[in-house]
Amino acid sequence: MSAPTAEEVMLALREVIDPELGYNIVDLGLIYDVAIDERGGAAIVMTTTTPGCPATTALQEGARECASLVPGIGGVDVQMVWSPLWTPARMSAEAKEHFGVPP
Amino acid sequence: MTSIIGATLSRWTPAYFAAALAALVAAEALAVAGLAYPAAPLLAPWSLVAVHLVTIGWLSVLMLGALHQFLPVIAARPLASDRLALAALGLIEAGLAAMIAGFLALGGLGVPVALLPLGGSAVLAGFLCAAGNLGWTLRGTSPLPLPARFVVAALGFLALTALLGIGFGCAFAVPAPPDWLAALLAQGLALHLLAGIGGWFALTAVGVSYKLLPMFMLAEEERGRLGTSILWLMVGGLVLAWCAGLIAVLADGRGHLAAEAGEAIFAAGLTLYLWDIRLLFRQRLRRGLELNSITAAFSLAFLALVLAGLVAVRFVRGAEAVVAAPLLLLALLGWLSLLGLGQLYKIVPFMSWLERYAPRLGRGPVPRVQDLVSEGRARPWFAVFALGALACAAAATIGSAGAARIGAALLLVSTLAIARELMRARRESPSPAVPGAFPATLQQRRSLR
Repeated sequence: MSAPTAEEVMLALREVIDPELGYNIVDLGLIYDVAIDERGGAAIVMTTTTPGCPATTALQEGARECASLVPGIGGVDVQMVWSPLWTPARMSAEAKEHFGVPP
Repeated sequence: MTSIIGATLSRWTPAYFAAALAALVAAEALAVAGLAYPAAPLLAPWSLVAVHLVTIGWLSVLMLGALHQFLPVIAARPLASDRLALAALGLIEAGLAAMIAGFLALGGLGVPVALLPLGGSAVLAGFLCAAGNLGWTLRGTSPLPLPARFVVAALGFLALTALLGIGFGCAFAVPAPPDWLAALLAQGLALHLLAGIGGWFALTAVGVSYKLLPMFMLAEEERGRLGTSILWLMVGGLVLAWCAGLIAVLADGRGHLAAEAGEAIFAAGLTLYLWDIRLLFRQRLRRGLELNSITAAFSLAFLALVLAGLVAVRFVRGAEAVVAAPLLLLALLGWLSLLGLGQLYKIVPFMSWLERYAPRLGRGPVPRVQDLVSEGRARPWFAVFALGALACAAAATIGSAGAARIGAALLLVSTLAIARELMRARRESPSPAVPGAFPATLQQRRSLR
């Protein structure tokens, strides 16, 4: 089986929601980067909407769990970062429309 | 701390919340029965019981329960000690029970009045346990975020309030108290209220709202120089007012002007805070407001009313004697209790979600936090609570015991209904359908392969 692509992992991560905002973490712009190495290992860099969010560990574990279910994945490392800080400008157009955030 | 996959929860916070709600219900029941203020005189034994059920049993326990969950989040480290959190709750509840017996001894119940300072000492010990536990949790957090700086100052005033309360208890219990203690009992109530409501409650409410409101409304959390100025104005004003007030009590009125200046500086800080929160609501990027944010807005309208009332009484001779206690009711019920109930309506479902659904995140669809509650069902009860607070304050102003009991009944019924909604949030299992939240489908995934 060939190694999955970063796009496939990103698509899988859309099944993880921020429990408070109730929207998937990819369209919220919480995923900063996904990289796949030659052995199929995924390195995910992500954040939360605010530093010290009570759901931080839940989101980290949820992303790890979800990405690890992608066929062919060799392992998942999820790094939480708060620099740069998340802003609503990172949301997709659909998410902005959903929350009434100006484009 | 209870370690659950995906979450770190303060183990005893739900117990703090349950005890707090029980104390609020008990105080409201006393007022409905006509035993406590505003249906009875403010300094009647049952009124003192109800006041301390609200201030210690409800608001202090609620705030400490929330801080045990909230400060570890700010410090990004577990609570220093779970056992100390339980010990603090046990000491506060046991001490409050002894204080209640002591207050009733003042009214003729056949128990020693000494239970009053003894109970107060136990409550103080509980507060110190909690403050130490929370302070130790924050150790090494640098720079301390603005909300945490408010809370640290508030915890200092909590200890001061409890110490002064023990002084009152001793003055009641000792047959011939020394002159300074007798003077404190006669004139020190304002200092007790200033440290308790202005210091502990107000600083905590401001600090916690600076964390929670931006988080839930997608607004800018950094409040810049305005936020820091508000902190210094409030804390500086309180310290000046309290120290000058103490000098005035012990030195025959000297320092009175400085105390008033301190109160004015503190009120200016609170007014700027209201202005800043108005900005925060306007700057929010989440246009639709949830019930906890709407409730916060209404509770802050009560705060604005209290501040306006405090300014007005300065210019109307004799007004202070009539409206001081009703304004106190508005602050305790309309501002702090409504704010507290509204935030509980968010925090309890959030904690429930973390307990029940965090382990399932990433393995399949899960409900949102807001799916655990029904805002439409709960909204009218928050309105009834606000109406009850207004009715109680109005009844206290005109001196109508009947109206006071009706107002208290509105508070009691709405509190019980909100408590039922919170219990539902912990028990109900909604379907995990989240329209628009999961645009990824298996078909889409396959199309990429």
